[in-house]
Amino acid sequence: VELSSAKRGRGRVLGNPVFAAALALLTAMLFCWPFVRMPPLSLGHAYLHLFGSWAMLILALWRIARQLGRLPRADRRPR
Amino acid sequence: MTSASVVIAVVSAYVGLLCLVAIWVERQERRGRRVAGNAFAYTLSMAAYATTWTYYGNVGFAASTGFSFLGVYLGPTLLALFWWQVLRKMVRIKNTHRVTSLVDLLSLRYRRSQSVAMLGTVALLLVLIPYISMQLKTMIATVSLLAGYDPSRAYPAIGRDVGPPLVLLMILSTIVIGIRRLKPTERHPGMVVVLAAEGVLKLVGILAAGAFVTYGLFRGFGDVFHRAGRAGLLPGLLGRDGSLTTILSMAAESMLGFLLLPHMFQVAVVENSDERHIRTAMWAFPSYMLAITLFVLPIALGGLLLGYPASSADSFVLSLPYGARARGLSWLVFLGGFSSGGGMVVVETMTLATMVSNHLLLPATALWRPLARLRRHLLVARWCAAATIIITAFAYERAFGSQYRLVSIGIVSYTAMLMFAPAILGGLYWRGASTAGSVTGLCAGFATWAYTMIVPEFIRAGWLPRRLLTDGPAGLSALRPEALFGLSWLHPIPHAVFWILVSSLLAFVFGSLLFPEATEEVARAERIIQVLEPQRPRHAQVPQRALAEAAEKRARVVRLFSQYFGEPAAERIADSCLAKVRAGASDWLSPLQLATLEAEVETTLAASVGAAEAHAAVQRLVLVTATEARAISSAYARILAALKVPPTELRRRIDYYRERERLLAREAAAQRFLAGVSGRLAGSLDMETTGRAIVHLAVPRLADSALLWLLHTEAPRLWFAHADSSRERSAIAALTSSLPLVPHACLSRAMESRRPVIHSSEAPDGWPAGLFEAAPFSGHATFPLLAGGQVLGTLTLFLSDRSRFRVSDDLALGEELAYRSALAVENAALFRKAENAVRARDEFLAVASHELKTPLTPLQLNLQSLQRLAAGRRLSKLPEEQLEEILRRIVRQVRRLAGLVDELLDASLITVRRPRLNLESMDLGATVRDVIDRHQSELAQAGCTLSAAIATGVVGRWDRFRTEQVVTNLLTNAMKYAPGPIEVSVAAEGEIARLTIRDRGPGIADADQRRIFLPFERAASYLRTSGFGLGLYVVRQIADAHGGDVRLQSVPGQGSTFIVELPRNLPAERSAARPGACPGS
Repeated sequence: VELSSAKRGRGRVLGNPVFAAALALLTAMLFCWPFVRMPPLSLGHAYLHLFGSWAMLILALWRIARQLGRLPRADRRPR
Repeated sequence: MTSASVVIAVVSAYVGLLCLVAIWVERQERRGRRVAGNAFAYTLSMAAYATTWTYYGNVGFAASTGFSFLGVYLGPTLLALFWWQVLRKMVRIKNTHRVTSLVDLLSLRYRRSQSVAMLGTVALLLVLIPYISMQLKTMIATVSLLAGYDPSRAYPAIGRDVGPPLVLLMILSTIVIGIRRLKPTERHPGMVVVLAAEGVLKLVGILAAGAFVTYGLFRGFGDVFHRAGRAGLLPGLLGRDGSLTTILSMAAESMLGFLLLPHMFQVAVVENSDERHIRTAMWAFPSYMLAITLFVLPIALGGLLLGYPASSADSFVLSLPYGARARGLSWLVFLGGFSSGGGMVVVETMTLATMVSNHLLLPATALWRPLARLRRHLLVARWCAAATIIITAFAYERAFGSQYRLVSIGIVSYTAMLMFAPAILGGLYWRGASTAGSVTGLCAGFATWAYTMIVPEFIRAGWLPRRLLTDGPAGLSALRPEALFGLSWLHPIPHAVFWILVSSLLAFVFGSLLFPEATEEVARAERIIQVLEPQRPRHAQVPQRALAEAAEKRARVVRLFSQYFGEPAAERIADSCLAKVRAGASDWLSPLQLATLEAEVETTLAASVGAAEAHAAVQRLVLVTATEARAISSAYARILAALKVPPTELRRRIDYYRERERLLAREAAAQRFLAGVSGRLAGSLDMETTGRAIVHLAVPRLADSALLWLLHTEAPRLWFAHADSSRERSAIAALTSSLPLVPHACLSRAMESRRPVIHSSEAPDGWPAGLFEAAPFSGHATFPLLAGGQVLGTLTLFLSDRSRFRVSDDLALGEELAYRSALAVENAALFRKAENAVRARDEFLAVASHELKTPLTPLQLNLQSLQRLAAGRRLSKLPEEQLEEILRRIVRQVRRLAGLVDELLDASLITVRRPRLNLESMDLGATVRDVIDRHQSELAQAGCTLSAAIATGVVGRWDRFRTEQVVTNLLTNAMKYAPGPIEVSVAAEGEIARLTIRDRGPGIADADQRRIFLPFERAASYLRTSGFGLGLYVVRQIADAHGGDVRLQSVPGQGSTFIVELPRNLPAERSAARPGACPGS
């Protein structure tokens, strides 16, 4: 019972727009980091960092989309 | 080398293929087959976002600003996190109000104002024509490159030759793919599939080019980056011209641009067929963007490392494979690039043409009467608008194309879209947003965009004095276009983005606060804002007085729609609007129905001409007169006055009571209907009457027409009903002519799944064509008729308005009707069976009397004769032989009587319980031979010739007496009904012994084959042959008691074959379960 309620809780977090906003902020910071860092990253490392961060965000989007499909209708409403 | 004309020919063939695909998809969709309605087609169609800017321009941008290009893709990816809230809301509004474009949404939100729509359309035309010209410029340049010219030298001159055919191609493809017909719902499945296909091609093209450069010309990513680092090609990660603020500002504008660019609004909102597709697009579209930008930097750096000039970096994607003589790859890359430009041009032009026709031309027709005819030629007007837009874009390209790079034009257009952000997004979430606020926001944003982005370009082109840029107008340095109010530290792009957003937002907010909307308009806006909240009922079915004649309103509605569509289409749409308010043409409309009808007409028209024009057209029509408007207000006022509560509570209560009353009214109507169904079905037990009653009960309450198909009668039967008796006759004739009816797939599916099956189709699609012509429908629901665990048939309800199937109440009512119909059909079938049984009993009594009387008469005569002899004392004088003969005859008649009685007794015993078996080991062949020997004389008398093929050693454990009875019954049957040659065979097959008796008689009809094994049933008439009709019944009972089977194979005119199969050893559990069996005896 505890596990399923924990899963439900995680599901609601993923479907929460506030979580999406926080994730957007975190991703924006991750994207900006190679350009503000001193000394600057090499081209190859910067490339890996930027596309890697992008891929991670896509993974998160996939999880969120999947969770939105499972949430009961009331939880899918924007708050 | 390939000539330019060959390239144009190939491109024409490619575009022609895409047009054919679009036409094919739309045909399939009209037949009810969904080709475009899936999440991946929807996602891939969003690839229209990747224009030539992405395909070619990114590389040019990356060559000078490094990773800055990523900002354009970071924005939409971050926005994807909120699609479920924002994009879904837009889609829901589009579905509810049938929005056709971005400007349509704007006007819908703001008082359905034509002024707002006009302003938005003009602004978009000014902003987007350069964007379309950018695509044309790229297409011309790449055609010249593939034709062997150096674009830097050949362009712009080559555009004189290549441009016109390309422009013509774009105009034709826009018309064929996007605006071939005027649709009640502005969705274009053909265009979606074409965009999806183009999306795949351009992804494959750029990935192939990237892989070729990275791994073909270099040794992978590491090699390219290492060499570029050593050569110092990219100082820092953002080159000489890039900055972090540029990335962030581009991310912000692309985030908003993704939603607000008209072609993206078209594919993401208008073309969305299912809100659930957004969930897939949330992750799939960012993945697409990641893939398409994966090789941008390696290609840019690779081109520079190979010595190509940075000024031609825009064409590196094509020039690098072409320079390396990879011709096949060059063609692939070229077609990918052409798709990225062509797709955008088609969608953008189509949306702009729709806006021009709906928001500029149609309002003009209202202002100037001679133009009123244009309404009937809306489609042609759109074609002309599309052609004008593309030709203007081409003219723009000719005038300015050589002066600007791809990215410059793209960014200028993109940035302009920011002016729409406060009005659109603010309007979706802020109740206080007003029309004045949106107009001031748009004007302020447009002015700031022109001042910060266009004026500097004019200055650089030499059309305005340079000091304006350095000193500001009249020496006011605070007003310098690229350093407004001293923000000189910002790059020009983030500077413009910042000021456009600030100015349009402030103007929008202050305009809305200073000039708020009226209360009624706020309430309407609230309905749009709360579109994601659970739907409220549109109107209640409360009893109200009749206000207006539906026929008169219908005539007005038809007149309105006729201005835009043909007369027949107008009549059809008008009927559909009346059906939505649940009123017939001969009904009277209540105040609420009239109000709903007006809203429905406006929404329906909005789908074709936009919300603003639809509103204006309905106002011009005067569908609701002033008196009627007052009556509607009074109706609302009466409801309001009755509930003395605060406004919010009032709304809640109204919703609650309306819903409750609607449900109660529906439930009461449903109960009345079902009570009528039961009464009507109970009225008769005749199958014909019941079938006719079922189909007529469903029409028109539940459907426009109904078809009942019954399987469990002697032969499949069907009944059909339609509201219009002449159509009913035609449909029945069509059904009758196509008998035997091949069951539609839905009928089979309903019977297999035992659940209702709903099917939408506007074509015969498996039904007889004549049925569809006589009684057209757009969908049907098929219900299985279930009774006693058996499927008796199906009831199919045909509807012209398929949306009725979505009403669960109607579906439930249909199921209930099917359930009651099944019971009625079963009762009728049982009644027919009982009638048959009574008939069989009466016939049996007649026959039994006759059969028993036949031996009694000679017996009586013989006894009377003896009596007379005894009375005359002549008995002793009778010769002994004569006396013996009389006694023999008496005994024979008594035996015959006893035989008949035994046969009856045996049959009745078998009926009551299974026959007792005395099992013993015996040879079936020997038994059959004995029986044949005993009947030799009877066979000869009947004129039968018997041939026997009896195998030896067919030994098993059977009841000898019962087995003989089986053989005797079958043999006497053959003698009685089929005098002639008889073949008897006995054979063993494994554990089965098989007895076959075949005759060459008249055979038995299919309909009688099952019946003759029932008691007292015979195929032949009682008058022609004697017997009780029990022989075959007894045979079947005995075979069954032995665990065996009896089968009949017969074709009328070719004789009959009876096959009896007996297991050679009765299974132990069977004999144990049979109390009468005597194991081991």
